[in-house]
Amino acid sequence: MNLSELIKENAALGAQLAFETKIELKVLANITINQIKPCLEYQLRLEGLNATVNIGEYDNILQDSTKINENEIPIIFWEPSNIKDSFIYEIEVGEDDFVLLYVNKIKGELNTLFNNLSEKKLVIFNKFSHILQSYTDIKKSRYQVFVEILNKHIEENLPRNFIYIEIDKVISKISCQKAIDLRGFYLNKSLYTVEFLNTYSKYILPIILSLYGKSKKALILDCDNTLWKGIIGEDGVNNIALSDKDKWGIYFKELHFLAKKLSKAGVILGICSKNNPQDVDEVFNFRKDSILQDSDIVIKRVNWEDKATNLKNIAKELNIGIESIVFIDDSIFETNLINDLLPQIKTLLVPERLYEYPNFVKANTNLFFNLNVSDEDKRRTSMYKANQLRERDLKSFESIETYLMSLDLTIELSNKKESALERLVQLTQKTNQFNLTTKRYSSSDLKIFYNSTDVDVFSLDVSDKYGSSGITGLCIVRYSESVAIIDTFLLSCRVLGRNIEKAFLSEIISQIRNKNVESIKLTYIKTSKNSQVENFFDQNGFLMTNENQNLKEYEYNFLNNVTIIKYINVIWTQD
Amino acid sequence: MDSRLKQVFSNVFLVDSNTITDETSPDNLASWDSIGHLNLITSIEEEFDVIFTEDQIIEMLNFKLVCLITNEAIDAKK
Repeated sequence: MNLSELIKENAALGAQLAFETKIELKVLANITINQIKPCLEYQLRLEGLNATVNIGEYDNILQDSTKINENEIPIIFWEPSNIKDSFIYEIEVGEDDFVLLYVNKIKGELNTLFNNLSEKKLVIFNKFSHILQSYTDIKKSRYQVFVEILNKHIEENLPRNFIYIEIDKVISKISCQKAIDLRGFYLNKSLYTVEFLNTYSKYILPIILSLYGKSKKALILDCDNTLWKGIIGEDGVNNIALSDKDKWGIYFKELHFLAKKLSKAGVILGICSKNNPQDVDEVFNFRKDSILQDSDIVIKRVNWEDKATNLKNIAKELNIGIESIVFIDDSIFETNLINDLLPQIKTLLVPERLYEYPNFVKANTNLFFNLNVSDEDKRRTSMYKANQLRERDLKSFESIETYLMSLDLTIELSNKKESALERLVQLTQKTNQFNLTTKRYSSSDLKIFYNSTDVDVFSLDVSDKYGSSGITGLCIVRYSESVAIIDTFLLSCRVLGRNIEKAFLSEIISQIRNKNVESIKLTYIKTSKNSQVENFFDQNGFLMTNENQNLKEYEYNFLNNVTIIKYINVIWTQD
Repeated sequence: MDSRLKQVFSNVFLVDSNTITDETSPDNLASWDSIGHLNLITSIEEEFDVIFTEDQIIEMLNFKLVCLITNEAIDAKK
């Protein structure tokens, strides 16, 4: 798509999304970078985010960095070649103290910038690059050395909330010649081509998607010619290729490694294949040379039903949105079917040239990019497996209550648990369904809450005889005069259906009651995904005091008794 | 060629192509600011596969001049 069409499409998407929550990004730069506005907005809007990109004043990075508002994400284009006109030429002939002067000047300015922005949710910062000015040099130029010194300083001092973008990778994807706009640079300091800005926008997209809980969560694979070469039902278990032993098995072995790495980072792996289930099981039982083993696969739909139905069932069983799935298949018929029927699913078609397959999948693993991988993420596969055991047992019990009683459910509660902070941040960012207000918080936000005497941050850990779910619930309470306000109340979907939410709420009410508070107030903020919470507070003793289209206000005056769930043990701990 | 250019104008400046006249210029079209001008240049170059000189870019002061200069650049290519 060329630029003029992109500008038009971008405006149309903006109008469609006008009623969604607004997301603001602010680009701070010492070059003219305004053409990034339509490019980046377009990529974000394609993903359903109502994004607006604003551009700071030219060469006002430090000044603008003091004016970033709470919800803005700053993106910093600090271009070392433009800190002074003709800088890259002058530095080569200047005295030694010329270099030193500028090194010290920029170091000082960088420190100020880091200071000004260290409390923001997230800052996207481009690594200094000399490649556009040095790619033809045989000997290292002084300018290159200058940039390397500054990059070392940046790496040693970069605040934790800064994401460091290795911009050289974006440049090399399209080539230096296609990234630099020399005419634009001399005319009005616009250094980069639109092609570069589009490539850059796509490159940083996963970071912003992750911040808004839109990263993919599950990788579902077909089997024949996707997980291995060959057709298991025809070739037999010993004649399919998936490891070094087999001719061209290497492509599939490498795919297995990629999937395994994703699984370790918390991505759920699954199989959706038209096959006889016993044939597929045979592969995992008899091919011990397969990198992926049965224990890595959380969910299997191996049958002769259509794949759209199977994928819908997979999303349902995993309790994740259908848009969280990435599906790989070697049949264009299947990927087209899914693109048609379930366009929210990202499909990847196995390349015809198999040697491209591992690299192709690798290039797409950013779909699962996760800003902060927590311990819970790493254990997700085993936790989902434990969930499946619970489900299986459920079928053999007559009533849900008897079943729940048999589970030995325990909830462990803490207030401001230090070791849980990172995970709680992640919960606010990723939980969409059982979430009262869907407020997204950063580490620095939570640190402020932890340090405030007027805020409680309750976390919840659920365990039963099959294992622990890890930190899966959060409630933030703010106290103001004699009122307690429940600012956030959320639970991860995988612990729902066991009345955990009721026990959690009851415990919080008891805690608040001890504080000489007259009433508890909260506001339900409706989103397209959180209808599960919509009536929860009505059913648990809260009185609705006000209601409009998207909000419901509630109050609790300690008149109704809290619900005690007999079969849930409660433990309070503190670290 | 006029109509192709008008379509580019319409896309870049988000206005109806019927409102574009020879006299349309940054003085009477709010979205034709310095950044709009950058987007216009890139878009025309993409549409007609031409590359303007620095002077040509600066001289494009209204729609009529844009047409003339674009023609000039297309001719220079032949």
